[in-house]
Amino acid sequence: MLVLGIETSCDETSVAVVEDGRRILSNVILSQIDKHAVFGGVVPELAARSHLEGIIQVIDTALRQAGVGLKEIGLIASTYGPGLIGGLLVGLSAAKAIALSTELPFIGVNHVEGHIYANFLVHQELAPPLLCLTVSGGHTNLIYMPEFAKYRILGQTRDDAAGEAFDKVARVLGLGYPGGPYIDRLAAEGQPVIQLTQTDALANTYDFSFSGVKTAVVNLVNSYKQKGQAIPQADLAASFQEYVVSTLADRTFRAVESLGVHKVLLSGGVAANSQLRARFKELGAEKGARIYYPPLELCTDNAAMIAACGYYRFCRCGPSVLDLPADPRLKLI
Amino acid sequence: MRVLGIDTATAVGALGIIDGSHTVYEKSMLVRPGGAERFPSLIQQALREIGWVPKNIDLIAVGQGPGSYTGVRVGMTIAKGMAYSLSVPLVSVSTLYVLAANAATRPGLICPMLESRREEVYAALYFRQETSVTEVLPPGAWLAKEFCADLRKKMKDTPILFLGEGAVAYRELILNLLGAQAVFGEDEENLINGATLARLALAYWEETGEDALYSCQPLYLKRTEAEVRWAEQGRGL
Ligand SMILES: [Zn+2]
Repeated sequence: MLVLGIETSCDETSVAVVEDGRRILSNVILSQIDKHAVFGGVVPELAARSHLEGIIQVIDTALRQAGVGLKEIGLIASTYGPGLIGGLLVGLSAAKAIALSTELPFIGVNHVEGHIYANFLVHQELAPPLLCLTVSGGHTNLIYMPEFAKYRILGQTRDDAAGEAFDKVARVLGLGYPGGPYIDRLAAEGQPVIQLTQTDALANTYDFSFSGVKTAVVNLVNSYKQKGQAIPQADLAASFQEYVVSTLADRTFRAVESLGVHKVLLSGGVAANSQLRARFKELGAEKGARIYYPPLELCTDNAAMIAACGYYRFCRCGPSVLDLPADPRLKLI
Repeated sequence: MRVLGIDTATAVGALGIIDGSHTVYEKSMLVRPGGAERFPSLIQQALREIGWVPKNIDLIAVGQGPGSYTGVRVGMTIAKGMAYSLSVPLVSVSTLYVLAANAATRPGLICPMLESRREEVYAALYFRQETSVTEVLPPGAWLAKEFCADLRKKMKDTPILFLGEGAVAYRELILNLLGAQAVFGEDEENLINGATLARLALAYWEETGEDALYSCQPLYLKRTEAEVRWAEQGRGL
């Protein structure tokens, strides 16, 4: 079955055609990064406007690249939450309009669940039980998936998402947006020698907190400036990144041991971080867990993962009602 | 031609279907502020009710606002999605113009008015002479008080017919500033009508043959707050 997937929950307008939840025929991503870069973060109203400006062209391009028409599609899938409401409504309304016009079934997909399925598109043999760490500008979730469609959120961020902290630290260091790749490159030139936080207050939980370390960097930079001292940019980047990576690794591998799971999936934009990948591979080898991560274009928000997830959900539970509302705070159950 | 018209710019969404000069379906319904996400299922119900399938539609008409940004966006996305899937043309019409068309039998100045936020309204001014309607003032976002005072100054004593939810909400203010010069629409005349929208779009399509599937966008009429802040810093976008 061919699934047309639509994703507009943040700042990527994306449409994909995926076969049976595993094979990508097309995955078109129209990024708005340049539009938001001048503001240092995603501006919701601007994002919603851009989604509407691009949506039909992106749908058309995805179908053309896949070499199919709407006649060959069997299911329309769209993200319905969580995310920015203005953007969600564009993708969801487009999906419903297509389903209504073509009399095809429609299914709403949870964006966070979608991220897990990015890995199923490239690792054909992959199946639960598994752990999935989704880290991006929008989410920081450690999820246990014992079987298909069953999830338990083990941990999540208490404040900033990991990617959000990367963006803010990059901004205070005068680097570009989004911050992840800039910090990653700069950190490679420095050493993690700067103590940024005292104790890990969440050490006994699977939850995360990144606002403390972010504030520590901001305060340090300000005090260097006040004293007229040079800012040790590379060491700061390396120390910040080390904190984030070791916190993520700590929670994940404690879960690996306590649940006895041997597959760990990485997804979300931060999963592209080179130090994160290296550390997880190293610890995975040590603790007997295999690490999976998708290629970069499937790490960040994309519609192929939504189409894949929609396929599996449709096979189990059938279609959604056409009345399905968007839910910016949708939970994963 | 068979035309489907949808407008979701205000809290009262409008749906209308016409077959040539004949109105087949028309309905107004309260939609949650900014959320017209139920419209696809309402359209589905409407089509079932009149015994049509989606393929029967030849043209899609959509109100482009001004109004709730999110509301207009949802309506326009649905309209574009349907026009694309059905391979039929799309025509967008200003929601204020659709409102002005409610007074089909009244000659003279017509001022359709919708509520914006705080003390602001979206309004335009049209002049009707027999069957022709000319635009005196294009759709804009104004402070209700300044706009009415301005109308008083510029239009001397010419009677003005006020229509729409904005005219209902600001009736007292309008009367205070314009007195007997102000005339008000009745009940239904204050609601956007989907069949009227479909009719206006059909006329436009027959005249121009312009398909707005890729080109039409909502009439936002105000910059987003982030853009405003940016402009205030002295660096335009
Ligand atoms: Zn995401």
